[in-house]
Amino acid sequence: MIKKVVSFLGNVKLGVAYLIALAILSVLGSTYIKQGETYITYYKEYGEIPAKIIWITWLNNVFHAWYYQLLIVLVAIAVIFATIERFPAIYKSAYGKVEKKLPEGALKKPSTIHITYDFELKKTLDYIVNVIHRLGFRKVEAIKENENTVYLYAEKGKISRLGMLVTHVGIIVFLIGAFMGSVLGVRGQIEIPEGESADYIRKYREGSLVPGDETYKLPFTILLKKFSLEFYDSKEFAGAVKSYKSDVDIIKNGKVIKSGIIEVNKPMEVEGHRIFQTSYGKTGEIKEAKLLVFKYDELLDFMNKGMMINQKLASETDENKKKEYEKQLRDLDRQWIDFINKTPKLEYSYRNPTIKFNDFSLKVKNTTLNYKNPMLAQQDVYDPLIVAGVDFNGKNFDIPITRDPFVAIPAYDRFSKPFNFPYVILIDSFEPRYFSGLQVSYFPGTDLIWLGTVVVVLGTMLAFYTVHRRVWVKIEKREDNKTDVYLAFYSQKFKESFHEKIKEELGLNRNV
Amino acid sequence: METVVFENKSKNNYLETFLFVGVILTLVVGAVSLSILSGKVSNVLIFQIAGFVYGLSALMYIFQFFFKNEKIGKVGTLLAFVGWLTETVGLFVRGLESYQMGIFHPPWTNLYESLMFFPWLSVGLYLYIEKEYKTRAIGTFFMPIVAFLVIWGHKFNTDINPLVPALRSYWLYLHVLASFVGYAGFTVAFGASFAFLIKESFNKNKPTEVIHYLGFVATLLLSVIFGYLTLTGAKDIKTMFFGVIFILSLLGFAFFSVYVLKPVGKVLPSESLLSEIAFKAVAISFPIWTASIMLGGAWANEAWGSYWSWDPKETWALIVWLFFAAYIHGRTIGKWKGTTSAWIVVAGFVMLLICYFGVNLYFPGLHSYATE
Repeated sequence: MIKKVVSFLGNVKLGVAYLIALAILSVLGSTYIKQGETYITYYKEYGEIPAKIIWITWLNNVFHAWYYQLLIVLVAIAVIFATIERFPAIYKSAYGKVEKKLPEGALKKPSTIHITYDFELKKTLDYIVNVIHRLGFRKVEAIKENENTVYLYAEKGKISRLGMLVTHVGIIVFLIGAFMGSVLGVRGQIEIPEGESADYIRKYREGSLVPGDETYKLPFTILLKKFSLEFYDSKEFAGAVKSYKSDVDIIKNGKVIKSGIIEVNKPMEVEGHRIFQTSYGKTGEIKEAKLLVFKYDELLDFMNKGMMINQKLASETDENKKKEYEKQLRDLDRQWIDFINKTPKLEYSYRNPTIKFNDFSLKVKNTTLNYKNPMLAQQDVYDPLIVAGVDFNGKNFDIPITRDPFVAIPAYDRFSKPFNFPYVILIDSFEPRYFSGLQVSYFPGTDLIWLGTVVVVLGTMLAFYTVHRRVWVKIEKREDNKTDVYLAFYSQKFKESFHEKIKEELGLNRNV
Repeated sequence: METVVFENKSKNNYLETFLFVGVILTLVVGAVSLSILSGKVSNVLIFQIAGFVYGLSALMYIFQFFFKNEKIGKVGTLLAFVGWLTETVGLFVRGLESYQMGIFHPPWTNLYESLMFFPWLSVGLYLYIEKEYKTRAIGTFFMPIVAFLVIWGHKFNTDINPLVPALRSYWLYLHVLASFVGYAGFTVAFGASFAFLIKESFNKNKPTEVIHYLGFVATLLLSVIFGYLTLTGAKDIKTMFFGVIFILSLLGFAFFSVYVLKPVGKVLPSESLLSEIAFKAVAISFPIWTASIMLGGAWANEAWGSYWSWDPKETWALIVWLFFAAYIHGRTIGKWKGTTSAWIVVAGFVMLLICYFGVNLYFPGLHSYATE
């Protein structure tokens, strides 16, 4: 009874059917129907009835569907029972006792090669031993029955027969690891702006790589100290991102327990959690900026000068005079550079929003990379704006700080003039602030996955890269210079090519 | 009665092999340095030459098949080898060119490169099998596909571009290399299995009826039409439908071809030999394919947040694995030496095509950088 059950569950045809069924179900899981979406999404995309069908048949999450999991369990059972049923016999046939003498009954079999050589027995024996050596057998046993008869026996690749056991054990180890991961695993992501920290992740919806509504509290806090981009050192591809990385501190109970760099392809492992660098982007704010503090009157003078020359240039028709104005403009440009160099500068960083100058102080309230269209900042199109509160002569008021003097001058009239604030502040240069997209996953059983797959690879290599082969030969003296050779072989696989090789080595293909 | 053990202590004579490899290496290194130092011969030109040589070789294979001429066959093999060497040079040159541009990466990172690299590997494997089994019959089916791939590949973007950050990993070498060895082996297995099916129908003398000819033409037309619609269509449910019809008509085409191409069976080697070639090709590739999936998992565990994400490429690689695992079981224990296992290989090959092209061109996912 038990035998029957074992042989039913370990039935090869059933196993093959499972494998193909699993393959076909996997096809269902990677079709156009996106996995792991919400019901509403399917409803919107396909309408009510298809959405219901998708939902009922688990087509939204095939790989976690009951039928998929059930099949995997069935495969595991089949693997275990097939191994139990088959392996002992395989082991016995490989490592059990073997008849080393070619039995008389095998001489007449069509698969047995029979050749008669025109040599004496001794020479034929040497020749055949040589042939067997060339076939890849290291040792050949010769059993001398009597003066006229010698038996040869050689064997190799016995270990190949263990391949099946090793592979199947690997599969089971792997499946245990995968099961642990799928039951206990957590995976999600978090975006942290530079300088900030987070102690949770947004969990992915089951079956997708998109965060859902659930969060998962990490047993530690990730503090992003610094985020940086690395570019290719190539003229042709200047600006192509080569890599990016986050310099982080891992904090637990107020103490830094680990710090280091998380880079693409170089994750960090903390208490079984793996932290990956997966994406980045701009927060839309300014990280650091250099500000120029102009006296309003001086700046206005300078700009008026430029405008006047430009107007003259536009209305002038005489080529020589035009050239003269152009030269004046170039001189003005040079003076502008000198002027800027002499202008006092302020350093802003998001870490210290308060900046002091001679007779006033600034407190940055808000920054944006592009106040006209914030979305364009992601494509490196900038129109930066800083809103800062000014403390001047005991008065408090807000001013906008831009990069463009033609915006700053009219803004001065509106925001600064009423408070007799004598300065116009402009943005000289700035750096955007980035956020780092980190993925965090916790998958117990990953070690079993590696162990299992390595064992499977080794097992299949054992099974397919080595071949168990045996050769039996009977050499019999017929006359003084005529010797009969009977050769039978066993090859667990690749019989045809082995047969060809034997025939070639024996000289049969060349009609000797 | 006495027992003696003869132990093989002699070392093989490697001199000839050394000389051969030495000459070949000198040729390759010479050609590579010539092309790099002159700066005029780009990798794309070299690949185009290789495609041309493969095309000639394919013609020779077809001629030798129909005229049963050993000499033409030898020329075909020689040309295949020359094409393979040319491609070797091309791969090295492409790698060095990317190095000169300051963005070094191995030449197997996008669709174009893979369409050069894959034929290189499969021709290598094929030449080995041809030598081992001494038959050129499979080459007649195989070389035209190779020539087509290499020439067709030039339709895609041939530029060398910098790698996206996620691809910059030493796993790229191992994982992709292993995948392509797998692809190559399974393709050879398909060629042998398909030849087996034709030989079988020839041996059993299955009658070819009008319906088979009609089916042959109809499925061919359907494959072409729906293949075009699938590969060029928008990524929506309609295209997916076309894709299913495309796959079914491809399988149907394979089915009817077995009848229509029956006369070809006359010159094919024996059924058991073809069956064994298929098995040998799978046996070589299967452990490597497994390793490739594992290496991909190891890489994903460093770059994508987990060893497995059910990404389309991963899933289709698993599907291919399952099909060939089924084949191995059927072939070794199930005693399905014949038709059934050959059909599993054919179906597995269709899955392989989807895994290679379908996923890159159609299914969005983590592997989608290989689109161009």
